[in-house]
Amino acid sequence: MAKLKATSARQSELFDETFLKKIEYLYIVSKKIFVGRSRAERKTRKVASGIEFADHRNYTAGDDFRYLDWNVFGRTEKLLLRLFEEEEDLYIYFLVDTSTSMQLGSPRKLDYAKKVAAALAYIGLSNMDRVCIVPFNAQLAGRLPPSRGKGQIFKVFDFLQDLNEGKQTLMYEAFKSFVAQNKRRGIAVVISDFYDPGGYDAALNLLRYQKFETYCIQIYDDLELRPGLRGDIELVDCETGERRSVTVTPKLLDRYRSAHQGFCEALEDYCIKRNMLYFRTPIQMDFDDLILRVFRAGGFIA
Amino acid sequence: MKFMGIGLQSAMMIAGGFALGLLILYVLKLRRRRITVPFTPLWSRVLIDKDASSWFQRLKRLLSLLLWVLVTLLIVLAMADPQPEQELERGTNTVLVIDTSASMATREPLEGNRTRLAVAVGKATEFVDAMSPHDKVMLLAVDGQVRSLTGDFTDDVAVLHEALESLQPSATEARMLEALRTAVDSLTDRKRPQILLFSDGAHSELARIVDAGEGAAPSTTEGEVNARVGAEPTIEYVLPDKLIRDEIQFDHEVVGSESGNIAISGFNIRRYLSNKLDYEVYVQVRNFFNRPVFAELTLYNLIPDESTATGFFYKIIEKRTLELGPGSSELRFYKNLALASDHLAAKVELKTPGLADALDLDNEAFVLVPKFKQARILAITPGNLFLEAALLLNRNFEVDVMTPDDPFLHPGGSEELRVTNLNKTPYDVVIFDNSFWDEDTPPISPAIEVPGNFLYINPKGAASPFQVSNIDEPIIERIDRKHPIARWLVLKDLNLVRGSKIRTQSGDRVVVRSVDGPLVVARREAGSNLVAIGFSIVESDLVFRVALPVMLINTVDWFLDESNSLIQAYRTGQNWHVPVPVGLGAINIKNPHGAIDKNLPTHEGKAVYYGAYTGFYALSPAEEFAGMEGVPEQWEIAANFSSARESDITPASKPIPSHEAVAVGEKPTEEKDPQLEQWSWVFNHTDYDIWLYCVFAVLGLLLLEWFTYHRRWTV
Repeated sequence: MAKLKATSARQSELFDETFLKKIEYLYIVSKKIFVGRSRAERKTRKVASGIEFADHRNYTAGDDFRYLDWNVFGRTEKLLLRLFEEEEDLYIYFLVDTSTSMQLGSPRKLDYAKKVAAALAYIGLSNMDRVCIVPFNAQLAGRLPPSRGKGQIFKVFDFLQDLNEGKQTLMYEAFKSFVAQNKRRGIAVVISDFYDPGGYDAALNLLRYQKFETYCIQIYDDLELRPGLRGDIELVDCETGERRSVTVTPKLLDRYRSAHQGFCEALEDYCIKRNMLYFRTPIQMDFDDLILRVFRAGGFIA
Repeated sequence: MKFMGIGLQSAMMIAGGFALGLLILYVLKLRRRRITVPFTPLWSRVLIDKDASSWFQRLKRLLSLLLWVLVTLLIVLAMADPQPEQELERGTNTVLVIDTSASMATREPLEGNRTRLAVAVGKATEFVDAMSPHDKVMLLAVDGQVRSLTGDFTDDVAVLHEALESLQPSATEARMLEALRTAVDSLTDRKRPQILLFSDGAHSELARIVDAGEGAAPSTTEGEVNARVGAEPTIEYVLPDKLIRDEIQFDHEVVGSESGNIAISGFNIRRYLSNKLDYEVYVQVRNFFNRPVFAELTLYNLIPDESTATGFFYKIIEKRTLELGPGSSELRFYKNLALASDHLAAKVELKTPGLADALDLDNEAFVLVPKFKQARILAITPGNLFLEAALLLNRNFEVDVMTPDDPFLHPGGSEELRVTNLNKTPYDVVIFDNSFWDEDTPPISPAIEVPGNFLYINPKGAASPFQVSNIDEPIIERIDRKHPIARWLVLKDLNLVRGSKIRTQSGDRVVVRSVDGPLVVARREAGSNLVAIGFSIVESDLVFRVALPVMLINTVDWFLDESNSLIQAYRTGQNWHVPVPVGLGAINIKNPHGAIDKNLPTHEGKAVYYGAYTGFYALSPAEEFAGMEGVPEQWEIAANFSSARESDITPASKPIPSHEAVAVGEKPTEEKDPQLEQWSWVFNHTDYDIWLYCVFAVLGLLLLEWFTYHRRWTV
């Protein structure tokens, strides 16, 4: 019971007044970043019953007569149909990793991920985009249905606060379910430490193949990179329970650091080569710095 | 190289044990610290290379093991305290003998009114403080016992200080010769031995004045030789021969100065023969001043009173002022004293202005008067007025007289008398005068208890425990004066018409013997006390002599274990053989200072106890015997210090002679040994022992191990 209370207290502290002010500030900053640029709305290539003229095409049997351009018919006696660009809502999916490995760190990596997701969701809601939160670990763990408008931010907060600890990370299995359930394409922001024993590449490829515009935000703890370990220890994997006896020496630590660095760089390479945006941040860094980096990278705020 | 700490065998066993333990600990898989990590595959990638070098890791762990084995061996070596033999020869081995006898409690006005013992301890402390690190000392305290307060020789100054501070004077004499013998024995095979004796020198046990006129024939007994100093009078010192032959350096530091003392040198009490309710007290006071003094002698009863701090109310019986000549004694008798309690004490105080009594220990004496009980006696006689008269003479006897055919003595006897007697305590003594029974009809009475006390006068009959054969006109040949029955007994020219020769058995004591055989015999048998007089008193002229009541009183006293002789307290400084109730296996003794010695075993009805303090000692059965039938909850004994030798506190005029005197605290000059010189870089410039180097080495190795461990060289 005490633990639950402590968790509850921690979560209420997660999205406090200060956090709200901070994301509001980020929203304003996001607006400034795009001042002077032509603010194109997101339009689908789908031509349908919008209000802005797009093109003509030949009439075919069965087309709606109301869209015939009679002026053109009067001048050229050709039946041409007026086409309009249809405006669509942008869907932003936040895929938040809630696996056991995300519970580690101080503050927890999951808490950091929640803050990042909440901040980006606020920006999205403010832009009248549809924001959907999809937590995952070995599978999808619930879903916040797509919402729009600033007023929905508290729903987002509540949903994020209630996210529970998951199990093992199996990104591919989870994303397979995700793409099956969400046919509307959009931006998929994957917030995770990407510590998946099965690998992350197949899962990310799945998003790419399904035409999701993918953002990868890798969260790690500095202590993972520089663990203060010494001597004879037994390493226990927090997700798989796998054990490894090891005698930690400075040399071994150096090698481990290189391996961790290599892991992160491999992920970055993978994302860049596949035209996915990639961001990496330690939990020790302020989350708003990360948000600004995302803005500057462009794409997220059109 | 010698090992002065634990023995080599023990050291090897400990080292082996530790090495084995370490080996087991290293062989056993260590329980590793568990660390939770988010992603072990990252570590797995790293450890692929690590496994390849595991043999090297094992070797490094082996190095760590060897390091710890080395540390263990060094620790054990330090415990063994190795000393090069040359090193051992450098220091002195000294036995400090400190006199803690009663005379050492004398206060010294010139030393700030400190006791002589305090002065001696101060000087001994100076010596200890001046010791070099190579010197070793054993401390012997000598009073009525010789005790080593340090166990063995030690160079630990703190231990010696503690032992010196614990010394207290006791109310005993000093067994100086035994102390010196112990010191000599302790110094056997030790290099540079010396004995330092701190004493006031008032021990005539060592010094004897030899009559100059007769000459002084030197006597040698049990390896002791005599040394003589002085011409008039010749003083003969009895010392262990090693001291005389100068094999052991001996120095005597005389403590104390001229001072005076008065003492109670004797304190006894006895009952009157005819009236045991009254007592006669004898007190002797001695003046050890070399001038006349006045002293006040107080005799008082100590009546138990819980409301007072001491537990006693002091009821003064009499105070007297005595005038004592120089070195003289004064005897005082207190006659016909009826005492209010069984605790009696005498105290003497100096009343001469300007003089001080330097020793208090001998100013008070105590005695405990045994409780008195009137004896109930049953005389079974066909009719003997002489016997009845002799018994009735004594007020301490309650006498019943019956004839042998009294129904009370037989089955189905007088019911009235039986009931009367049943309400009384059993008879203490039963006298069979010329009475005999056939084997089939022994006397039976509820008032006669077996075991008990029985006096057979002219015993006869098959049931009699004494078998006799008749003799005519026996002539008394010898009386055993040491037996209590024969005390003050005069049987010279006793005329006997006829008598009986008593057949004795093993354990019988013949008190009176005639030419023809034993005439009076005492026997202790199966808890009973039996006395047989082998003649009829009416057929002798004993009935006209005072010897008859005396013999009867003596016999009854012997039966009841009551003595008319002097009632004396135990003497301090001796092993006391304290009688205890029959069957009591162990007792507790609480001394006058409140300290309790528990579970002292008893042997043949006596407990052996060494008492060092004057006053009353409380005895009680040990816990496992508490509540035992016939054993009182508590009883007491008294102890006195009465030693003219110790009360004479005049210190020795000069030390006991020694061939080579060494001033206190001064160390002998060390001779340089060429063999030792080669080790000088180790020993001469430092005062450290090898064990200390071992400890330094251990610390160094630990530092190395710590460094290599934290640098991850040995993990």
